[in-house]
Amino acid sequence: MLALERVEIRYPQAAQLQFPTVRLNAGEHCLLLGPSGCGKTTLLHVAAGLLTPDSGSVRLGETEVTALTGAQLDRFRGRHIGIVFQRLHLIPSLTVLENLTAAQYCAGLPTDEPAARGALARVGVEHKASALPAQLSQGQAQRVAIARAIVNRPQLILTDEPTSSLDDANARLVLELLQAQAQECNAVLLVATHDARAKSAIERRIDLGTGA
Amino acid sequence: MNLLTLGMADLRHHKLANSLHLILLTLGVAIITALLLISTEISGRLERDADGIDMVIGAKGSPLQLILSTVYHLDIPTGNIPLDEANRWAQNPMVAQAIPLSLGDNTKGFRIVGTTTALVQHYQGKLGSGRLWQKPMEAVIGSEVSKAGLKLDQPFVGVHGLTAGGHAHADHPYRVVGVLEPTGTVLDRLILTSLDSVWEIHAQHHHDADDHDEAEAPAMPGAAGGGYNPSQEITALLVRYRSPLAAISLPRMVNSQSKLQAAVPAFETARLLQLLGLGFDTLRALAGVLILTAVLSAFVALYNAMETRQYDLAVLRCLGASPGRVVAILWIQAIALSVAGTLLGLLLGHAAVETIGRLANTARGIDLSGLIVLPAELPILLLPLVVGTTAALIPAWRAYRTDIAATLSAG
Repeated sequence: MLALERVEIRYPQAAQLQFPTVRLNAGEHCLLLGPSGCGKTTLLHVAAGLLTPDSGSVRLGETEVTALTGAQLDRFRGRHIGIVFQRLHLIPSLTVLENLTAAQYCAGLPTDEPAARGALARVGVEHKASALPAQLSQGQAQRVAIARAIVNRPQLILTDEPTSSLDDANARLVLELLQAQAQECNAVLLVATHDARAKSAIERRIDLGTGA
Repeated sequence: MNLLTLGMADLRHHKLANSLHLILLTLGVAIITALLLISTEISGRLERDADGIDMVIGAKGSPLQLILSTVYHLDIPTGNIPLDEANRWAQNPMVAQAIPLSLGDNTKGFRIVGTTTALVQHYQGKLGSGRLWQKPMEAVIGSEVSKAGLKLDQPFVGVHGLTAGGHAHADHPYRVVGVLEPTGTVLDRLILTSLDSVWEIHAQHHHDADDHDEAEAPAMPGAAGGGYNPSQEITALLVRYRSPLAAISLPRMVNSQSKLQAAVPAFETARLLQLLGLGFDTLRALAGVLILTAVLSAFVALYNAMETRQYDLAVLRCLGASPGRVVAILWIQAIALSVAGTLLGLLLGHAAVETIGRLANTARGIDLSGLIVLPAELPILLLPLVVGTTAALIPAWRAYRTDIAATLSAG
């Protein structure tokens, strides 16, 4: 389903980053572990098609992501990949619901408000549909970000340190939510984290720190 | 959800800053519009009033004053001239038409002009009701005079002098026999009658001279000359040349061979507009600076907003929006701001001129209307396109080139 083969990133004045090959099946959940600076976020960006590797390939389903360029790549990403950023990056000028319909629109899909409300309901923040992001608590904002990532029913869900700013109870809740939603879409879930609490929730792991 | 909603939501989100750009833009456009309207209407009116009048012959004095008093009916006359001498010039072979004018009285501030019916034809006046004057003390009034309350068949009394509130010639009432349709010229503000009417009143007036004090004399400053019947004076002669060649010699002949003065409206009007023009140019430069400031502020604002918006735009890219769409959102924002500013500015400019026109109407000067649209305003409509595109250019370029991964990692 998701296959990252011999991905390499070369920085002009730094050592090149070589990533282990990653193959994940549909519905499989996996942790991306390692200390800060080992390249977790970089690998997520490569998987998301935000960063083109200098060599190696990325495949998602039947599509060779590394072969796509420009607007094609943007559209494929919007349609098939859901991303939950560490800083969430909700659009501050749009309401919670509009943040979700914007995700539909940007992916080139028709605006489907019921589907957007459904996604909000699944993560338990439907009552905040017309609130602005600034009016949400951290926990609510996190849920909205997850809802936005799943609203287009992606094949791949990428999250970057989803639990780093949360207490134990909320961290567990968010991980459960991510797993449940990934299951619902039968999507690959890739969680980059250095948070030990995540390890109890997800079995499969890739440790970039040890090169395993 | 579409590009417009995305762009507008962001504009709304930064209401305060965007209102400021809007106000700056609106003021700049409003000033340009108002200037355009005022200068066009003033020069247009001056040209129409002087159209077909090549030269004015009147008493010596300031040529500008002679033109202002007899062509535009704004100033007091330089004095009177003897009718026989005026007639001598009227019969000059180089003169195609000469219309005599005799000023001196008013009613409610509207000037009563003793003249011939040639004046009505000259301004292409058409009777809305009634007929032209045939006998002394019959009067035809312009459209604005009729708006001010004079009606057909209504008697009225002339007041000595050219402004309201002088000595009334109560024993010589006029009667309105005709009302003219609006011509958009000075004719609208005049009360026309025969030369005889004016002579009749003032012959009487001079017979009764001992009843009046000399303080009234300045209204007819040239009337004191001796040796001829004062009733046979006129104020000026509006002359049209038979051929353009007359322009070279006739004014000089009048000025050198008689005690009269010849003034050329085209020349004096140009001089007047040149004096006014200085003011217009200054204001126009000021409006230009205002618009430039508005463009600059919109530009700086959009550019600054980019610093924080980069994350939003990068997120939109992440969500699948192409670079082109992101650029379109920025462009829509800039265009929306400048279109709104331009339209508001046009509206404000017209409203301002209309207000000035209404407030200044009592001065009986040139009417200003904000309700007309000039072809010269069309280029102003192009302004938002230019301003908006310019302001959006660099931010859009940055958004287009932005490295989403780097931007989001930094954020």
